[in-house]
Amino acid sequence: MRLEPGSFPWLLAHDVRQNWRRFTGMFGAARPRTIAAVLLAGTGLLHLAAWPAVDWLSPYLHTAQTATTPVAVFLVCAFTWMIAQSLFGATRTLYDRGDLDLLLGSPLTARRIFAAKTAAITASTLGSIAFLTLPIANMGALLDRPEWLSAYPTLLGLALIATSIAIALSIGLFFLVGPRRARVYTQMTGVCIGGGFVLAAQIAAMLPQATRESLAVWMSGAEVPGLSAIRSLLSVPIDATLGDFGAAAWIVVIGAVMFAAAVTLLAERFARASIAANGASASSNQEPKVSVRHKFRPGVARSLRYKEWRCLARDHNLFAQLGLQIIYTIPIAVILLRSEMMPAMLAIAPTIVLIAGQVAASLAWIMVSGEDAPELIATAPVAPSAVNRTKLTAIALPLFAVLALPLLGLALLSLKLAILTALFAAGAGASTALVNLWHPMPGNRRGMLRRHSQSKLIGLVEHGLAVIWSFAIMIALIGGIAVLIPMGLVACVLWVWRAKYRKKSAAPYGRGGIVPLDMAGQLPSAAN
Amino acid sequence: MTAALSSVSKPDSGLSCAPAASPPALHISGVRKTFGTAVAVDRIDLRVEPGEFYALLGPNGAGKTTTLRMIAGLLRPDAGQIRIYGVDALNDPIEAKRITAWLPDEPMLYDKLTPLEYLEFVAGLWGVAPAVAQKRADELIEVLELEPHRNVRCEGFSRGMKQKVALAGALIHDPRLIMLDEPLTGIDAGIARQVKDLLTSRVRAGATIILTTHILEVAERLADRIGIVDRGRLVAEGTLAELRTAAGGNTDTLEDVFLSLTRREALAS
Repeated sequence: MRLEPGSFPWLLAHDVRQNWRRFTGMFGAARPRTIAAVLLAGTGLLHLAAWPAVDWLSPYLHTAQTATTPVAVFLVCAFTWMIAQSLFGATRTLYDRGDLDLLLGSPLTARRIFAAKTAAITASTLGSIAFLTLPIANMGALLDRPEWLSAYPTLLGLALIATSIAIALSIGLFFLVGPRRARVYTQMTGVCIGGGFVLAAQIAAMLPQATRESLAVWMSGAEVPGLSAIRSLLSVPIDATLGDFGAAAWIVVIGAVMFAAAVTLLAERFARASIAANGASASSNQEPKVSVRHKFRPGVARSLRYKEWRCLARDHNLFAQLGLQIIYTIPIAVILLRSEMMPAMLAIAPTIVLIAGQVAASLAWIMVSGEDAPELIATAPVAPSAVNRTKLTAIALPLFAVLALPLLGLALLSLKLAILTALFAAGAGASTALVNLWHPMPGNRRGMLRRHSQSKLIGLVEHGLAVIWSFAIMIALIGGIAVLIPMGLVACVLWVWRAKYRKKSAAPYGRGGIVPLDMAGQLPSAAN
Repeated sequence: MTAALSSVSKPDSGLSCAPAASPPALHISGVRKTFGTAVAVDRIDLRVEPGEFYALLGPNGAGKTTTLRMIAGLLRPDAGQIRIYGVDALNDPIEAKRITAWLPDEPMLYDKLTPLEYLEFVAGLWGVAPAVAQKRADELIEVLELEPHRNVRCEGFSRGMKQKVALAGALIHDPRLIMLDEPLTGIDAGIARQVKDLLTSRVRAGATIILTTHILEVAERLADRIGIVDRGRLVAEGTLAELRTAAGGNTDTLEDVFLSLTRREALAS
């Protein structure tokens, strides 16, 4: 079927295709058939994994009394996740632009373009939660729970509502605080809501038994003065999730109405915001941002370090992404705190080490692979080893800034524990930074969180090393000599990685040569 | 060997400004670079004398940028030699880089830095003493009329403004050999004039400039000598008058000369 050019479905198909290609880009140069096979296998595996989940969930979801609490927790988590994803989508649409200038410059109406963009955000938002949850609904339907298929319309309705809220929020912030700040605020809001999603799952489980029971009683319909309206509002999605197709239809209708309202009311503002976002950075330059008095500092290393710190400190977008990374790691501390394996304060240390490893990896990627002017560095009379050493030391300060507070907290509890944690954190940070330093994967620093789409192996090694260091400190805290095993493993991984790097990226010049193409990541045009 | 190639004037055959004793600013011989099966640069020989303004012309994909990137130390040639003021750039790249500057067509800037901070950074990389760098930065900012923007981050600058900041960065360490890749593409006439004036003054001060350009008028007006590259080869080289002769003598503008020589080369191959 051929869609009419310029129509809403045509625009939506264009956006969905772009998103799909971005997604399949994560598979590198794999052929469409390979990607389809991998996705099919992944879907099959998810459905297989959902089977025991259905068995486990089924008794809980059998009666309203036992079902309400888990379903409510799921819905809160899913909905906050959807809002966070929609906020990121809205920010991407407004600021990363892509084809927006082309579309807004065409004779199409802003409303149609906005509707298509918003629908595409809804589709991505829905996809981000559906791939994990719908296999459970499908398996439930197969295993004598056909009513679970109501998850389809329920999630669609919630995605429409979440996108409408997120779009309104991001455009509202845009006009309230200005384009430049709005981007940061929107992303930070997304980070907090997204982090809340991860934390909520743990916090709900951490509530005392009595609180959980009274929550369940309240949700199941017991009269609580003044709260009946809220309960009835929440009961609609709960009923919808539990198989009430009428309630699910209501959610879809509410979602569609909100979506239509958002498109109708906000389309023009979206177009204006989009134009303003394009000129935001230019207009921001009318006022000086730093002191007029500026004294030059000497030395290559100092220049490089200051450059890195300045670029990092002024990039709020990166801060938001680093914040997201840290917030997503915190639940591990919650899980460890809940376990009875070790005292509460000892549970914090592995989390700090894990965060150190991950943040250092990100910082290393930003400073090495995300270098904005690689050719400038490559044409400077500085040996690459000196550049690399300096970049490695430049990572230390922001990493310390991230870890200082939790380490100080640990030091108040136990100085020995704090020192040990700091040492392991330094080790984790150094090893994941070296992985990035030895094998740079060039990219735009804005896409820091998406950097592993370039090389899943680097992502795997980074996370692996951080986890190994985290295990290592747990073993060290328990006091076993077995700590040597993870340390040896780290050494082996780094040795293999270093050898791989040497083999693949030998310096082009005999001595004192820069490795411009690896650092720059700009493949030379074939013949220019 | 084509007819056009036979017309290439030998580098050491007609330059009055080159002192006989001093080494050439740039001497490359037999330089070749391939990407897979594509030959980007095919055994180019080139000699540019100190204080010379040399323009490298050629159609898209001719190998101009690749040649300059090899001289700048960004690419290693498959074969050949590169000497910059007598320094073997392949064996002693750090020394060669100390006296050269490279300005690509896309300005190499940091959006989050101000022009002054950028100049401080570049001066630091090249090891220029802070006092000297500060003085030069002030001069460059004044000459390029960047004064109102000296403490404003580069993120919202126009392409022309960015190009000016990048040019100031390229000149902050007072290089002896300056290589510019399409420095005037995409910038307005006013900024182009500032850039041209600054480059001319640098040549007068003794620096050597090699530039690639698609704007033939720039080469015609600024360059002492012009080299025409096509399909990775230097097909003609000389002053505008020499090139006219090589093209058959009945051509008026550099554009005619350029088209005549490149067409002849295409027919010959």
